Amino acid sequence: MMRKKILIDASLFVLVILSSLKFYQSYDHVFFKSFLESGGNETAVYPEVIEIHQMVTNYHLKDYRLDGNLLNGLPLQRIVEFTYPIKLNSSSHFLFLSNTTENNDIGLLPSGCKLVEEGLRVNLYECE
Amino acid sequence: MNVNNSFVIKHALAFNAFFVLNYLAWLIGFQSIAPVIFTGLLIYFCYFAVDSFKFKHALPLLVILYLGLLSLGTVATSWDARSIWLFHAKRIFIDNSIFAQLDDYAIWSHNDYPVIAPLLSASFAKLIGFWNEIFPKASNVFFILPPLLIFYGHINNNRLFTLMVIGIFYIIAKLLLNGYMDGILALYALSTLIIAKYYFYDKQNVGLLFILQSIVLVNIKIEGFFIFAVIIASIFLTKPHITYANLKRYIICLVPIIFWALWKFIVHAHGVVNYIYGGLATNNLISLLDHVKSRFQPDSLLMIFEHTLLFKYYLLLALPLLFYRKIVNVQLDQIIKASLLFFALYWLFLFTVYVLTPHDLYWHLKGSATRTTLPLQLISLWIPILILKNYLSHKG
Repeated sequence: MMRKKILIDASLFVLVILSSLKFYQSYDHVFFKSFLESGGNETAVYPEVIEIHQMVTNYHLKDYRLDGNLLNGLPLQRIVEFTYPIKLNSSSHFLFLSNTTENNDIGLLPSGCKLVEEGLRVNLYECE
Repeated sequence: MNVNNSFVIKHALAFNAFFVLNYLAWLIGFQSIAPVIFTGLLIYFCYFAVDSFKFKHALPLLVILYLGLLSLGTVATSWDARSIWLFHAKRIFIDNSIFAQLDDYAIWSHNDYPVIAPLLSASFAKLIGFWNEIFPKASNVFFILPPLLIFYGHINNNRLFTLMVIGIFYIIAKLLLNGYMDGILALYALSTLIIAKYYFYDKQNVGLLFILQSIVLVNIKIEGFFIFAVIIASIFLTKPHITYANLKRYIICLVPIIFWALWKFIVHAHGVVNYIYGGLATNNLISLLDHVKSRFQPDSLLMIFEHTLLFKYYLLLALPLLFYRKIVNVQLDQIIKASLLFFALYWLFLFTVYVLTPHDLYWHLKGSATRTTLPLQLISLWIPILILKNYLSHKG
């Protein structure tokens, strides 16, 4: 009887470990950053989103607009979420465009815009 | 409850009360006390931890501590978590208002969705003083605690409860931690069904717990209200003797309905529209009938059946049949009957949703069916465990 109980408990323990493997597939090892102000940023969003956020903060922008690749579903949503409370506004004077070799949208630059900052992945322009 | 003291009821009730209190504080404009409420929740959790060891009921606590540590080591990267729940929480925290999302900015984020869970994340962020990509999500783990306590109290057997937890880890898996609400909703669906059993069948003094549990359920996600309706229908239809006195017990169901209707009214007053309802509202009756007719074509029906009925965890329901000879004398009690009826009615609800969806059927099913069927998958685990529990007590 005792052996049977030990066997059941051991089996349950093994099953708990095995079922926990499901969590480790998506574990990000950010526990020690969990209460830091910028904790998890690099894991949570694309680098261009962080770059846009930095420019929005550095230039104290009140709003911004996007074009080209940055307007595609996921990049757009991540930018909007991450830069909040600064909002996306289609009539803003400040425009972000992707400048990477894979997604170079500089050709979409309207006339009358001047470069404010050239980043590694995105450029910020001020337009009239 | 089968646990021989008020441990389960007291703590499940208290945690639910914190969630509802936090909701009410934000709703009536007392958001400045939200950090106090969250601090109260943390202090109460410490008291619960001491109580758990004192009364040797430590298993639910250990599960929650484990999930809490995992949640603090995981970043929200999935779509619903980031674009809906945590974005709403961030907006509530930054704008310092429960109505932040109702300006309908970022329309893709389903601004009509209820906010009880985002509000707890926002309160947590208010307590800490800033927002980041990790810790606000961890507050969701608190919502797992009342259902776990209710399962623990009903099963009343450490080994069977461990088996239930293992099943939950397999079925809900990362949806417990990644900021989605579907796992929490499934746990609340089943635990509310259990509490409803104690309240309506056994006439136990759990009315307040049933109300609080139901308020949280209807405010987690939109489906919450329909799940609540299905629970009440399942209980009502499996109850053998309906008397006037019994019917009076159903009056308290109005409380969660009022909470649900209040949020609906607020959303409507701000002109925010649900994306499924919005799609249907543009149809007139004839085009709606045409739409439904097109969904009753074999291809569409097969697609719905395939995505809602073919889950490996449903096979768990067949497990008791393997041991038919051993369990033949085990009584199918009312909670098992109600759970089976819940399974059927909730599936019917899902079927109706997918028939009516204005979106591309395959896209909608592919993106949601695994999550919307979670309550059914969980029930498929729950019923064999109940039968096993009944068998063990029958065996003595």
